Amino acid sequence: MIAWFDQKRLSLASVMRVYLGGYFIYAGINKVLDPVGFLKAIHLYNLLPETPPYFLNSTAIILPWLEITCGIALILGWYVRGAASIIAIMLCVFTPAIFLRSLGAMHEQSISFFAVEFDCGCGTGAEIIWIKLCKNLGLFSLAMITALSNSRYFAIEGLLCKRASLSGASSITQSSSPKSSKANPAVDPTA
Amino acid sequence: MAIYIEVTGSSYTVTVVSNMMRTIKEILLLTIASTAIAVVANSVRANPAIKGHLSWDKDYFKRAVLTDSTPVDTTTTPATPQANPVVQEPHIKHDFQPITHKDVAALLDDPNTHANLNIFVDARNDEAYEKGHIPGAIQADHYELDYYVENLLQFAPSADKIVVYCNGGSCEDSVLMCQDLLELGIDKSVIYLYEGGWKAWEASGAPIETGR
Repeated sequence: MIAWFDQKRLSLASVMRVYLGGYFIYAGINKVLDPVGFLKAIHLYNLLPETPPYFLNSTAIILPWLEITCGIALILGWYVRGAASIIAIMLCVFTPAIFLRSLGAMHEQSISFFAVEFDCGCGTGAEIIWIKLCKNLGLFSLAMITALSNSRYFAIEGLLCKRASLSGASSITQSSSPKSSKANPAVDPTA
Repeated sequence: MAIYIEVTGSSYTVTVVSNMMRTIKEILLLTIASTAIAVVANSVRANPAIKGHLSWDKDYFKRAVLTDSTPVDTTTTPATPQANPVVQEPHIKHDFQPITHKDVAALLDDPNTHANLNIFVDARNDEAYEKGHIPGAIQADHYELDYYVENLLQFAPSADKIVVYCNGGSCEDSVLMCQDLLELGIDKSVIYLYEGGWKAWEASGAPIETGR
């Protein structure tokens, strides 16, 4: 199924990779610009212990930069699998946390789940939570497709592998059958 | 690490790629790089003239304890009926002396206020402060104390009354700010906590000041 996203010159997987990267750079920059707001937001989830304070504080300091670094890596097409995996792992943690907090808010305010709205600390401001959860599922899908994809159009990894392949350094790729090469026109950087 | 399995005698070649080790390596390198950048960026912001610095080991939330008990002061209105009665949400627990909305409003016209002997401390963030605050209030965000401490110490030590407020209700920033004032050596007897906070002030129709 992932191969379908890698097919054709357009390579949908590469478009997804660049979109995902851009989204996380935007979200990360918003958090870096307001570290206190992000610290307060993650404190509200009660996921991390308050004492010792290192857990909360280091998360608030490092996480935004991790998002930005992964976003840049995705856009440049460098360490794509690692960056997409980190984003997928982060979404696996954040999405259930947002869901649980929204359930709490629903009971606290005695409102419908679809009316719950708060700033989840995601770097995108206050949002209707069920929409945010759907967005996160979409982002998780993008991250998984990116992590599993072999497409490296407009990617440093693709350029490096192509160069290595041309210089004869990589002979393993060439051993692939013509059919699989056609399905993945970009050079497989995993070789 | 890559493992290729070729099924011989078939036009279909199965390629199984095991990227586990490579992906883990990438995850580690990206995490290390991000941590390094974060440490440098946070160190640069350690300069008191720049906002946005977070201490690694400061417990920013240690004193705030939320309560589900009944509020200390249920209304901000005086005993006599008023045009805009404001029901106050339960405030978080604290051991500072509360001050009512009526008393805070009365302080505005007090000559001591004009002589900077009564000061209002707005413990909210920049955005909230700029949208509106009690006239003459100085801003001092607990989370950015290093940035505000100089301005705070210019007025607080000589003040007879320091009225601290934040949003009101479950907002804990005013309590945290009161604790900061104590740690800065301000006498507890001069610190007053306006529990109704900005919500009560704004709803009452009292005068407000915007911008800086």
